[in-house]
Amino acid sequence: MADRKTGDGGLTRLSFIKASAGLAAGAAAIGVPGAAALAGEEKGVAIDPSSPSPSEPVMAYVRDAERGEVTVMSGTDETTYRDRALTQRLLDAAPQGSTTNGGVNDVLAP
Amino acid sequence: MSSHREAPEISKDPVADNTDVYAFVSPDSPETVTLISNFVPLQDPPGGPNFFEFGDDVIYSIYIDNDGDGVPEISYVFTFNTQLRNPDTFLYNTGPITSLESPNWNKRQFFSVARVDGDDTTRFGTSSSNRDDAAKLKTRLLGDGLACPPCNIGPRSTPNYGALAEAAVHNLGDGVKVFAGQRTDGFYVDLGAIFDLADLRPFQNLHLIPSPTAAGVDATKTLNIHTIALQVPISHLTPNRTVPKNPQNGSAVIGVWSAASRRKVRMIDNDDDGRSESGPWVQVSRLGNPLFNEVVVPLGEKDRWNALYPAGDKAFLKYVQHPELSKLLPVLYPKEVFPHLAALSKPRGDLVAILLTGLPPGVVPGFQNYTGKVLADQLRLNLAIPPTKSNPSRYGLLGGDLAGFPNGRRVADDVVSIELRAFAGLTYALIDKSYKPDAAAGLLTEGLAPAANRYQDTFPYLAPPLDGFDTPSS
Repeated sequence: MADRKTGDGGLTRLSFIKASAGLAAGAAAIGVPGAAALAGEEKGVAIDPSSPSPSEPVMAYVRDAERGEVTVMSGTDETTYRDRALTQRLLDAAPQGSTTNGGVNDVLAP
Repeated sequence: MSSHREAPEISKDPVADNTDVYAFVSPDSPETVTLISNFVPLQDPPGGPNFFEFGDDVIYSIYIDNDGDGVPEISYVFTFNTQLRNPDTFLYNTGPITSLESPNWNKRQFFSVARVDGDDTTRFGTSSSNRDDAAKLKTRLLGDGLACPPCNIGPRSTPNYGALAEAAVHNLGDGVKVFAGQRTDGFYVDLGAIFDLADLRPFQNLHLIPSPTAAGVDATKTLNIHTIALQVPISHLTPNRTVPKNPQNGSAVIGVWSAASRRKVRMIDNDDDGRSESGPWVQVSRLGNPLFNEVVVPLGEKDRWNALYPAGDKAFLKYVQHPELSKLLPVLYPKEVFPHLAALSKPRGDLVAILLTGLPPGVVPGFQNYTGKVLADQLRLNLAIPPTKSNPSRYGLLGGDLAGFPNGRRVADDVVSIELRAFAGLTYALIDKSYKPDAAAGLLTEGLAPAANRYQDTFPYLAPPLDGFDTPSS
């Protein structure tokens, strides 16, 4: 089970101004398969994207590979988890031998 | 410059680059305070076809601290929305723009303004993570869908610009006025000289690398800026909606600063020409006192300073107590120009007061803008001091004018000369009566006087922007 570490919250620009329930909740509702569904898959399959990028994508990056820390952003929420399995799956999915930018690894493997 | 391109990262992001903040009791409406925050520096007026605008992907904030804790009790938050009427033309306008509703105006911008009561910085970034505090914020939308004026293009495109701009001054009720759009930049500076090893042309015969004296060159006199201006009743900014009458009362002082924030992640997808954003809002620019990040904070710390809130400015205290500029002046102007400054090694408590705490009572007769011990870079405005209507001194407090900088900041205050004199030791005598300032300290100037056409007597006080057809004139 993921070990939640930190959390920061807020609302989107639009909802912030209009003081309504915002996209943070909407982003969380994007059709991301649950952990249980993913557990049955051995490995991701590389494909061409089937749809345009969403306007508020859920984004994740490996913050610290050794500690198994992954930060996930959804809407204006950001949460860092300690989840070694998720960290490893992201690292496994990272293109091997990718070039680095500015002397550091890309966002998936700092 | 005051804060134009003052830090490495923000210099690459002009839309979010906070250049100047002003806060003053309105001279033509002394029951109100005017707050101005400028962005998008160094606008060359003919800068088409994509004329200057605010960022739809930026939150612009003006903060008020009315209890001296270094965090805001009140925030005014501005967001923008750009609308394109016709994507099939390269033109900003397809004919004269004679009103804010003109069908000839192709690319228009609108904005919203909200007031937030509580520590609004909890909404932004990861520096503050208390969801409970964020939930306590009280947000009130003051205006939505408010039109910005167009940029001032030229006599064919914007033939009656004054009327267009005037129409973009919005009365929001309850005594609140707001404007957001292009204006003439009110900040004046001899940029070419000041960053050529702190040359001051009127004194350059005394410089380490001397040349004959000359008048100053106003580097920004033909440049525009994007202004967010807000005028609110004084009672809207004070605890318990009071209107302070006694300048010596500590509750008469408010701290003011401004900031811009962006989403933490931006994704550019070439497949569908899309732009996606995610994550919390992160502060990328802030500004209180002019020149603080520009000349006090060292290059390696400037980006970090922009990301922090004023309540964390204790980390920069050493740069205020022992400023690099004060050490440089005696080196760059040798031959006994600054002998007393050269010998001054004690911490600069005067600069700490001016920039980080406000001046306590008793330092300047009849004046104080002290907000307590919390070290925070803010403009500090004593609301009980009335505006100076007759012959205000552009040297502000140093010129004997209690209504000018560093008591807040008015649009025409010569903040460069005021701060140069302070850094040269003139104000150290305020806290150490045994210190005799160098004669040069009281004379320092860039040799500039701002042209009157940069300002106007009424809200938003900065003059309409220079038009791109006539500027530059040759």
